[in-house]
Amino acid sequence: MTLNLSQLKELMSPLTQVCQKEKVVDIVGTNVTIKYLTPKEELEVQKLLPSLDEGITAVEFADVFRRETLARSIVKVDDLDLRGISEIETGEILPNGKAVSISKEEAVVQVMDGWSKHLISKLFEHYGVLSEEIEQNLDDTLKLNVTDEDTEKANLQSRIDNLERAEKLANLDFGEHEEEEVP
Amino acid sequence: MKKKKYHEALYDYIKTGSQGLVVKINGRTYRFRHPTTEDVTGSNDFAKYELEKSAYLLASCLQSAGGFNVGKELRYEIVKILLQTPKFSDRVSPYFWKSLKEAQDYASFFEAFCYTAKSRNLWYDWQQATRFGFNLFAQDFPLTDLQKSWISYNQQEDKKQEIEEEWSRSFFVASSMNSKGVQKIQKEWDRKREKEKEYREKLIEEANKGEIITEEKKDEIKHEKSVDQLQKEYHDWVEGKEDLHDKAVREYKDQIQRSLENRRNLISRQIQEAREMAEQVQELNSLSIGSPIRAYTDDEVAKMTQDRQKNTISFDEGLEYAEHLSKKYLQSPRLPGQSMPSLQEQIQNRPAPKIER
Repeated sequence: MTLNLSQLKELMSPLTQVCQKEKVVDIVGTNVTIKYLTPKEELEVQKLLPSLDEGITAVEFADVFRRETLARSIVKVDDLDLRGISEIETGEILPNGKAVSISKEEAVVQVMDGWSKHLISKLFEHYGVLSEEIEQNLDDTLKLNVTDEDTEKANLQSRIDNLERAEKLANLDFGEHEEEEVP
Repeated sequence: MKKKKYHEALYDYIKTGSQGLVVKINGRTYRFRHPTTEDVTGSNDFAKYELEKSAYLLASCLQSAGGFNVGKELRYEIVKILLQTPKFSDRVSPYFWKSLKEAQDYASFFEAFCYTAKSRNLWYDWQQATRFGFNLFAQDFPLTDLQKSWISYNQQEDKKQEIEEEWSRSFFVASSMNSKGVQKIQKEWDRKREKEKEYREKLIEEANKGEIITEEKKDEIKHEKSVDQLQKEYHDWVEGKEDLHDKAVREYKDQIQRSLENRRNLISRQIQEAREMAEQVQELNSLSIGSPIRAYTDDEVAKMTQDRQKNTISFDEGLEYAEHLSKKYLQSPRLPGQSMPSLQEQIQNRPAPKIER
């Protein structure tokens, strides 16, 4: 029997479902839904990161990283569902009558421009927590015929590193926004 | 998890085309085979980044999903699915390489495996299946290097067996014509065969201990060197300069190269041995060519026997020869006071009897 594409997708669904998880975060009364980035999106972010040779500071680097990651991670803001949308109209109309559109990521970045850095870093912390939740999901469901202590240690170490990195990125921010409470 | 024995693992690798990592998620099983060199080259051709390379390799090597075979034509779609699935490739890739590493470790027992009855039985099954148009290796990708080497080895082994049979026939003919010449060759032949048998048994013994058999170890077995002369192989790599994929690929290539080299050595040794055996059979045949077998004529037989003393055994007409012997040796009365000569004494220097009816 030769599988067709939809059969393949169905057969692969347990695998994809375990790895695709979303998290709703309440940011001062706004419900923001985030997802974990796909490898494809991670690569997009990787390619957009400024080179360290460009004389960029750690804070600037962290800003770009968080902004670009969250721009792809946010899939819903209150009732505005961004899933499956690649472009968003700005509301402006060109002289030729055409509506001006920007990419979904660019639109989210513009929305985030209005948020404080503290708020963004807290949201990014939730992104780190989401990552760990998926890892735990995989711990529970993934069964392999190969065991390797070194790989298991490396995986755990990488998860600790991720959480620490998220914490470090949060700590790179200024203390003046501490009055904003994010659950 | 119970570690497989080398012969179980190699049997499976040869029969399944190197099935490696098996992943189960929520009751659904995904089976991946080990990559071929073409898969590895393809992953490097496909992308620059490790994430994409890993996705490509996993997609190329996915053999079945939920019990359904996944065809090559769906490979690109699987790459797309994996690139849309967070964390999976990252999480599974190290185990994928680990599984391959294990297989490569088992491959160092390849020669020992070839000498086992299990391997030969699989070979007969494979030949049988091929003869009747079945495909014992149910795989939709080309034969792996391990399978190719295994087939080459067994073909040479068959050839050696044929020569052995030919040897027996030639030996029968030649020994009746030129026994001195044949004896020399026979001794040489037996010595080689015994040495080879011992070598094979020792190699299997070492493999059963689970020790990785390096070329140096094989030399030691061949030349009976002391264990102290064994040198371990260490492979160092520069840390931090390569990502997991690059490291794994480099190690994979090195190991593949070594394994290929070892298997090539084994096969060329098989070919060499078969050639030497064939030469010996030829030599054996040439001994009997000088004095080929032919029937003697009555005159020749009369001439050869004319000067010999004729010992005639006479017995009553109508009495069977068996009865005559029974009377003479079994039923004759024993004479007291005489020591019975031994059978050896009785037949010593006795001329060959000629029976006349």
